[in-house]
Amino acid sequence: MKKNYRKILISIFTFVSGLYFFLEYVLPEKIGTFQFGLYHSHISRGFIVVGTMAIGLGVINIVRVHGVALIRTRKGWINSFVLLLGLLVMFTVEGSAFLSSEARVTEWKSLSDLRAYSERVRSDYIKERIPAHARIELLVQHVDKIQASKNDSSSFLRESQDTEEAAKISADYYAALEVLRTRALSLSELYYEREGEGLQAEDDESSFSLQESLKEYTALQAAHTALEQQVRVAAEFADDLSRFHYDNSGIAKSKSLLSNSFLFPLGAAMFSLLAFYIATAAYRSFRIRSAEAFIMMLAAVIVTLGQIPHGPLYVSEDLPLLRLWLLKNLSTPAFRAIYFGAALAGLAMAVRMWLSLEQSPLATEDNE
Amino acid sequence: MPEIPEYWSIGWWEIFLAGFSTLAIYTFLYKENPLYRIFEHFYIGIATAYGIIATIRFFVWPELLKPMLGLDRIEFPDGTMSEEYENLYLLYLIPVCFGLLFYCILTKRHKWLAELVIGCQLGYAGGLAFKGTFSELLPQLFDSFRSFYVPGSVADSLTNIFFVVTLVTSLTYFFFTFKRVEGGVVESASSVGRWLMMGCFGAFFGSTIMARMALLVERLEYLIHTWIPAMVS
Repeated sequence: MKKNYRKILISIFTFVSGLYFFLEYVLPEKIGTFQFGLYHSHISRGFIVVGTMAIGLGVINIVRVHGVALIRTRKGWINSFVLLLGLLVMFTVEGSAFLSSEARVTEWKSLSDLRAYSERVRSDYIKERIPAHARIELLVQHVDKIQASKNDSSSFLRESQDTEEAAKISADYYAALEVLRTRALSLSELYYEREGEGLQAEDDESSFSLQESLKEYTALQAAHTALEQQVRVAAEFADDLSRFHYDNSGIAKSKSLLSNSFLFPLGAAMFSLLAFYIATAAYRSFRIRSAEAFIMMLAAVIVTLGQIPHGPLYVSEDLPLLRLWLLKNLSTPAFRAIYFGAALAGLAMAVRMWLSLEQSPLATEDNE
Repeated sequence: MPEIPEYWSIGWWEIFLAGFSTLAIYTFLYKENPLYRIFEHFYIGIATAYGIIATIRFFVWPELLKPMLGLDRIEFPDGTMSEEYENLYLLYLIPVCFGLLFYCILTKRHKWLAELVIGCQLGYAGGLAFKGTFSELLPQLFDSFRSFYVPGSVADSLTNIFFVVTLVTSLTYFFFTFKRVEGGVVESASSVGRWLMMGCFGAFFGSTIMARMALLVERLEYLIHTWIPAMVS
């Protein structure tokens, strides 16, 4: 009885999960004032998050299967050892590279985001009259702090004389920071004067004309724009410098070694092995034993020769066009015919799954 | 011709190991051997770890953890934040906790809880199938039934006729609801469809061969133009 409840609960969960996406597709976007898909992106992401949580299962299974083989020194335990070693090394290197790259971006963002800060100070000052002088002073202090990382060995924005290129990027970056600081200081002075005048104007309103206000406002706008442009320039140099430090770090080099020496070559070699087996399969398939085999071979030969330079060079210049015509007008409709059937069958299968009419792959005799 | 790195430098080791890995995989062409199996297992290990870290790096961290922890916001020099924390992100804790039930599959007693999550994912896929199928199927269906007469172009008209005939006859091949009579219309159309599908399979086969050959050529090119010169130098 208890197990039957579980089965019903699972069926309800399955149905409700699918129902939202079904309704989202068949219902209009708005029903009266109710907007059905208002939180669609969050809900979709929520379901993706549920699926993502399963990523650890693969690792657990691999470690369990190969760990046991290794501990009990079963046949092929060396392979298990190598697999686990690869897993561990890649986790360490890729994980460290990820953390390091995040730290680099965070450091870079602390500079590049000063543009958004400048925009906010200006907007707050114009719209809400929030004093800006002190806030720009804080920006100057922030730039000072960034400049202080010049000799910090853990910083990605530290000065480097390692290569001629690095020395040049460092010099450009620190020069750009200096200009940025100067522009921030002049903006701070402008605000200081303005805020001071504002206080006087409160005592004597006649001394503060509209024309003067407009003039000051334009000057502030120009100073902000100059500051923001300089932030962009400094951020570009900062990106180059931090990238240089990152690329020359031990983590980046280990990652490059692991990727370029093993991950990419092994993957490419593994998949290119199929070229040999396809060649032997082609030998078996293309022996012209029937008219159908002949048609198949002819189409394959046209497509193959039409794709390589030798076809148009040695056989016919029209081969690429013929290949394209075949793909567009023979391959496409025939494939669509298969696809239409498969898609409808897939939909029927999906509905069966949604309505829990299919047996669960995990079902055992006792919980059926 | 790529630049050959200095002997025994990291760049040289990178090339040496890349070439050696490639050759180790190709030893399988002779027969199954321990060297191939070691490199095959190593590849599985590193590819698994790479996939997991990539998922964390490109989805879990930026799309889930960062916004949930409020780390996607910027702290300005005056201590204010670039934007308000969106409390809605806390609701992501629900799918996170629910998704963690996947791990109940490892226990016998609570395995049914994992079925709950699997059921949820199957339902999600089932519900999405309507949108996925129709948004992909219908445009292709509309495009397939083309006009038999294209004004001013006999070639285009004939091409369109050929296209529709290929589609209909290929579909007929899969019709089993009609009674098929030897020499009848359905049987003849089905037979034509079979021939045309053979042409389609041949074209597919040719495309697949070329895709694999491209990988093989790339590897051979690497061995000949990069690996051998680096080893010889």
